[in-house]
Amino acid sequence: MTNSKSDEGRPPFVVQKDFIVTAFEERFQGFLQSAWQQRTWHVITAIPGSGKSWGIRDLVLHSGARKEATGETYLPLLTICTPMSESEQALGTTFSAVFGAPVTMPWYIRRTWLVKRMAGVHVECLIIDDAHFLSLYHLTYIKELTDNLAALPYQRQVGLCLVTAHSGDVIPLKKEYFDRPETLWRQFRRRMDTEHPFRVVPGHSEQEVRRILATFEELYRSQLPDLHLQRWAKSIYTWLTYQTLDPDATNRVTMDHLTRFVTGSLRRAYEQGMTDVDEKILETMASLMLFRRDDFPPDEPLSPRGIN
Amino acid sequence: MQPIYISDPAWQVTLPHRTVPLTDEWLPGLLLRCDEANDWVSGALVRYLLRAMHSTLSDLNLITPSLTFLEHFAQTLSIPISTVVETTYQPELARLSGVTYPIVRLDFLLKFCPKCIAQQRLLRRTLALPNIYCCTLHHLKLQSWCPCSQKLHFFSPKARPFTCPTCGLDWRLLPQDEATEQDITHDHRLLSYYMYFFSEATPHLLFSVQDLIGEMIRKRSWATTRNPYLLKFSGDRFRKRRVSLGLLVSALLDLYISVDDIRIYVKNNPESPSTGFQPKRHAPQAHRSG
Repeated sequence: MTNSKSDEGRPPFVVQKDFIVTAFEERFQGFLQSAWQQRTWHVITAIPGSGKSWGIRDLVLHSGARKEATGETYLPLLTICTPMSESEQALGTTFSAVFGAPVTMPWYIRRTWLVKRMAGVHVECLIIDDAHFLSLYHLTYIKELTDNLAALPYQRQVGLCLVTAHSGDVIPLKKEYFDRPETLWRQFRRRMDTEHPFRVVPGHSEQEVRRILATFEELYRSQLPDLHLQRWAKSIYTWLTYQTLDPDATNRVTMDHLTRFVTGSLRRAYEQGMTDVDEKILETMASLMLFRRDDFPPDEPLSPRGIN
Repeated sequence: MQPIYISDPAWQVTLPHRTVPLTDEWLPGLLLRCDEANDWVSGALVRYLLRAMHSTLSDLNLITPSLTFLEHFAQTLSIPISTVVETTYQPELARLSGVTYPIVRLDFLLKFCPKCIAQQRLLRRTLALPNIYCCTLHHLKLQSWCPCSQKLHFFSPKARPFTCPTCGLDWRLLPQDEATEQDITHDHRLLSYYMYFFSEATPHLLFSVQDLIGEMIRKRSWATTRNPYLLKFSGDRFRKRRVSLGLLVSALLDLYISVDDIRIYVKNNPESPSTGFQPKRHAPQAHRSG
């Protein structure tokens, strides 16, 4: 399992950052694509660290967004992260920044400019990440913006995905806004999808973890030629669904935890000159994540005595 | 030209809607077309570019803008800087000046052909040449005033691009008055001088022409009485000042010196002048009003 001869001249361990289309991403992107195609409105939620932002980024990269030299621009998916400022102006400016060169203009002009430009670049769906931070002003502005797009002369119906992170059984935005009886929220609710207004995207089951481990094996094959992670799938799943890492008892594994666990273990094995991980390294890593997780620096090389 | 995809870092710095220069387009026209394509008010883009350079509109020379400005502009369109440079007379005037940053001037007044605006939103580069009165293509008189008596400006923050800031009239709707034969002939002659200077551009040519003008003024003393500005050409003082190409061309026209006369003079005086004028070489500057 070790190859001490070549250890001395080994280059540093390289973390692979390729996007992996996991089962979670398939579910999550499936919901987004459905909203995009059907032009429906949803709150899509998953626990933090599931890979929502990565999934959005990947979808946007493959959405066909482009600026032609002739002046035609296509931006079917307009994606932003919720600004921390609660004003509608902040949200409008964040939307505008996606278009490119941020020319300054008064807010009253930008307000109409944005509607015109969204129609002009063929926006079909708005995706707002970290939507649990949306304020009353933000939501009011989103309604106004989409209403203006739907009205004459544009008549452009757009999908809307408010992507949130949640914990426990509480779906963000639902209770504090959409379930309220005021007219605004009734109007908002009416625009949301009838069948699935709120979608919860679960993390990875044990079988799905096994498939991801198989992908990791391929990704790190060049650095750890004898890597065989799948045999540890059950143990890894069990560790990563302990209460400290799965406080809501979902019995699902997040991609963030799994990636941290695997890359940390592989780095440690690599730096010890090994060509595969062993039980000891995995247990050490599990201890680090389960019992000292706040001290665990995910991207730093770990000392072999790190847990002592 | 290739499209820009959202994965490209250039996406963030390019205009929402890109625009490419038209053949023979002048810089302010391109800037205005960018404003129009992106639904901005007149001059929004030029102000954005200048703000990034901590500069203002009054510092911008539309004929020989700084390379920093042109680079920044090319970046926002994601086109080669050479393509943007072609919308100016920077290379021609630099060759004529013999230094990177031109010291030969062109002093323009805003004027344009309503038909060029109507057809292509085009401001031709020849509009930057002084004393041109009509459109070389449509033979219409160039316009610089709105019928509402407002003098037109390129970048009026209160107006839409290509419109009057006072009454909002689109420049394409300005009167399309036929130019007279006399004006057309006059412009053809002027253009022949400019084209000659730009194609043969060297500092030596510039000094030779000044010498020739000086000689002709001495021979034709009546000329200075009729055109007092010609007095500026007597003596060496003129050479020590920045030359206005427009003034030079007007002098050639008023003294009936043809391009052929210049060619013969330059041929017969190969080693002539350049005495007393050694332009200081300097690197391109960020801004320089012209």
